[in-house]
Amino acid sequence: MEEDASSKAFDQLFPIMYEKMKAMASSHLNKEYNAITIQPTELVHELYLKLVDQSRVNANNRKHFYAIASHCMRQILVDHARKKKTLKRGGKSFEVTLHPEEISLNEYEDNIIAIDEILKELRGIDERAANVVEMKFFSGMNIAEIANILEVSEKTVKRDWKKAKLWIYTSLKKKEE
Amino acid sequence: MNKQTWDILTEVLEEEPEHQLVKLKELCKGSADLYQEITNLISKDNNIDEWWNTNSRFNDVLLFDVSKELVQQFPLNDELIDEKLGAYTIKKSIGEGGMGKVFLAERSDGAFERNVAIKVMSFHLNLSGIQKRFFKEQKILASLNHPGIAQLYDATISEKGMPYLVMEYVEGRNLIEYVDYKNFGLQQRIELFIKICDAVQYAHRNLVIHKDLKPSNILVNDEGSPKVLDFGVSGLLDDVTEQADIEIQDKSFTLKYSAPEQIQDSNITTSADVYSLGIILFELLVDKHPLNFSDLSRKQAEQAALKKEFPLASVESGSKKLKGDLDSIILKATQKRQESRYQTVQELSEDLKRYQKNEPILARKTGVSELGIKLFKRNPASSTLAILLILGGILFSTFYNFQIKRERDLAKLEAEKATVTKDYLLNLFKTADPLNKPGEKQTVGDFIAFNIQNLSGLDNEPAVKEEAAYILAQVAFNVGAYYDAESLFVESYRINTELNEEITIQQANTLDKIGNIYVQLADYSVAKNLFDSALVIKRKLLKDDDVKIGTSYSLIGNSLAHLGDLDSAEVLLGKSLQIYSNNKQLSPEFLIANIEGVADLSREQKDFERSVRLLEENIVLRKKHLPDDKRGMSLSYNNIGFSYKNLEEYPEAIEAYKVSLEILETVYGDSHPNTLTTLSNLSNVYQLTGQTRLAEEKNIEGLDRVRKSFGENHWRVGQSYSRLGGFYYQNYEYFKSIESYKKAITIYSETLGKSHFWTNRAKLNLALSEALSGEINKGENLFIESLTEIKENLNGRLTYYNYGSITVIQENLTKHKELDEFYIAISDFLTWHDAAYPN
Repeated sequence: MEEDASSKAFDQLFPIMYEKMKAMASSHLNKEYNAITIQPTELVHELYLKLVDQSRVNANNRKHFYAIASHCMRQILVDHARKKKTLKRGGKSFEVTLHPEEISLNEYEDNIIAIDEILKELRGIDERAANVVEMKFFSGMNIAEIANILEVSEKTVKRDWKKAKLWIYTSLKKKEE
Repeated sequence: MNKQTWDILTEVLEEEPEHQLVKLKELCKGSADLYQEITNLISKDNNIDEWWNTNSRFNDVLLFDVSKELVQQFPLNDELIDEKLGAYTIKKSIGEGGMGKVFLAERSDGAFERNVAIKVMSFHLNLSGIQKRFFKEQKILASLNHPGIAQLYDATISEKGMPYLVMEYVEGRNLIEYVDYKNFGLQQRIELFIKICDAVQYAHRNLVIHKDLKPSNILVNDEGSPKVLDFGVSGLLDDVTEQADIEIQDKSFTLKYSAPEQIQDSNITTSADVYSLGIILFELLVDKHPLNFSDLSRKQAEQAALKKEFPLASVESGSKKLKGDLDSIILKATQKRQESRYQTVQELSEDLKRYQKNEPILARKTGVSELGIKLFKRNPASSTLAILLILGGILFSTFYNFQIKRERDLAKLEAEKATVTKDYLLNLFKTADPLNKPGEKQTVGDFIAFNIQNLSGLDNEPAVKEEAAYILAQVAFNVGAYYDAESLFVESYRINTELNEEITIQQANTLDKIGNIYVQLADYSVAKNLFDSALVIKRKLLKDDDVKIGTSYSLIGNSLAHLGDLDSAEVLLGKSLQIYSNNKQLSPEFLIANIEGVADLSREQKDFERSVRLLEENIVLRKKHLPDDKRGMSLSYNNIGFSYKNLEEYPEAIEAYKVSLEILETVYGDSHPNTLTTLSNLSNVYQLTGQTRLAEEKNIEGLDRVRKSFGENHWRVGQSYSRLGGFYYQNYEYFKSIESYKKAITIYSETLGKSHFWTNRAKLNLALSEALSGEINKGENLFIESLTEIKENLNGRLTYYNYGSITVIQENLTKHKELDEFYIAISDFLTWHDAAYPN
């Protein structure tokens, strides 16, 4: 459990959304066999339509929902990156045929895990900025959407995003050194 | 880096770029390190966007990878041989199917020797929710225990995520090979086929559909006993894959033996197995499949399976023995339309048994007059009623949508006090053949109306007329023709009072029956009055602790619960339970009815967990003691579904509703009110779980069914439109919801009247949709109009049920801030109501 989301709603929602989102990802895969990319943002919105508009979950609060959904998306991606790394380390061959740039994919997997760790630190300092990163980077939402959800101006979101980008990148490079 | 750095960064970035360094210097106040750190941060600005963008693109790739992993195909090959799966060691491959391979395996833990068949699936199950579901299903399948069914011992998932099933290993020949090898004659083949039907029927009674019956799935051993393999396996996998949103490309079923609804992926019930059995019967008797699929593409084969009429077995085989009854039986089993088929495997096998005994069969396109003569010959004793009904039978048989032959409850009930008269009646009901006049559609209403007319012919024999009216009333009740049922019960009650100077227990029974009609119509205060009157009669005629008095307490208690008087309800239900439990000859039936009542009460009190517990208990009791009470069984399943829904346990809710629906459709048919209520409940859960289009489909399906059975202008059609409107409303499709509500209102006004609560409730809902679609003024006028109307027509008070409807509308309103005034109007109304009608 993470520091920002100790609420009961989160406890209830997170596992549902986590699995639902994964299942949705696979259903997209089946519909469009050749399409390589499923945009994370599509999934988040789709999940919103599926769960919240039906008012079946207690997250009638859009803001709350998107925060948790973006959280889920982050968790799914990071978990997967970690798992792939473990598999590689264990010497098992893991076929990655999706992208020709194998090396940068490996690098990316390291990046995303590092981003995740730094994000946890950032959350302790500025929660809103951390949420912006989840929505922008992990869920792929745009500035206007995020501003709308967080109920702040677009300018504020832009500033948070800019700061966070600088902060995370620099911290990551520092750690690498 | 720390909070200080972050805060300074924040302030610096507030400034225009050219002032940033000045600001930074000012804030760092001589701390050179800090100054350097933040300068580095800012100067990197241009380099990092590319870095973020690249990583962001990889997010998409990684997500694709996540999804790919979920549906990863598992390579199945002979490498598995000699591998261990749980306690078994795989020996050799013995077959292959759409979804995996079958291996012969041997128990390897030394506990005891046993050969089993292991079916290994070719896909992974990686989601824990799906796995849970898989295990739950396998429990049901493993509970199937019948000599004609290959036992499923275990279904589990290996450490690698590979699902596999451990099944009884059966040695034998496939059905067709066996009968040819043994050179069986016609009677022997039918004999063997009936055994297969028994096995399938057993599974159906346990609510498991095979979905993939074919000769290669039926093995016959040396003793000549057939064993059906893979029972429910395709269902188990369908459900699981559907749940996971995974579509398995290669459909598991075999086109050659699949019912049209399976090919079209629609509502599959036990009658799909009836269809497959019909084809197997054809093949058994004719020695070949009714259709020739060779040289057809998959698509063409599909079309042929869907549309092509089968040749008559007698024509195809050139055997006169098959002509007539056997032709008809196969034809009825293999009807493309589900509704026209035998509804249960039991009906099919019973017909074969009738054929063996030379009795008239259900399927035979026999003229009714001929049937009448047959029956007369065997049972010369008759009465006026019998003659009347045989004449009336001409109508019965042409009555297309009439479903009474499925009314086994009634049949059973009546059989207990069977007289020759009633036997005739029921036989006619049961043997009525919907195939006789396809295309000619008569509604249930027409049917009942005809018979009410016919009743007047019995004026000279009031005792017979009383009974006939009572039976017809039950028929009408069972098919959901409540208003006709009411007038028939009233007629029967009236005659009873004329014939008897003293009050009779039959009068009390009839009052209870009429009360039940009002329960169905959700008018609990009228129902309660009737139950009260019945209780008065019972008290005069019976001992205080008679179970019939217990029944009254239970009925009144349930009505009170609906009327909102939960405390009194609890007391009465307690009394009723006490009578039941004090009664030495307590039949489980009473206990079950009572538990059901307490569960109802729990739901009214919003204690859904208790309701689930009670209903689970009740389902077990029902299976044990009242396996033939399909109505009750479907009720329990529906109610448990409702409870699960409220506990937000949606998969369980869907499961329960599906079971309930299947029973209802099989026993009561497509358009029975209970069927439709459950269908609508199911659709509601689909909607809640985001399966919006499926939900819409179910709603429209419900509407079509009612229209087909009751004609366009019936309050039930209004009800369906209203449900559809509600669905669209919740889905934010206001223009569609407006359209549906308008239709509902028109129909309600014409059938129930403008002042009926339902008409006005639909108007309230319409008002809401109008307002939300932007027509605020229109909405407001409607809103006031319907509220005023409701106010004026409150006979006594709003029932608990109606009150509930209004508070639901109130809840809907709170979601829309812009509709403040409406909210106030409804709240005012409810405040006024509570003041005018205090509890």
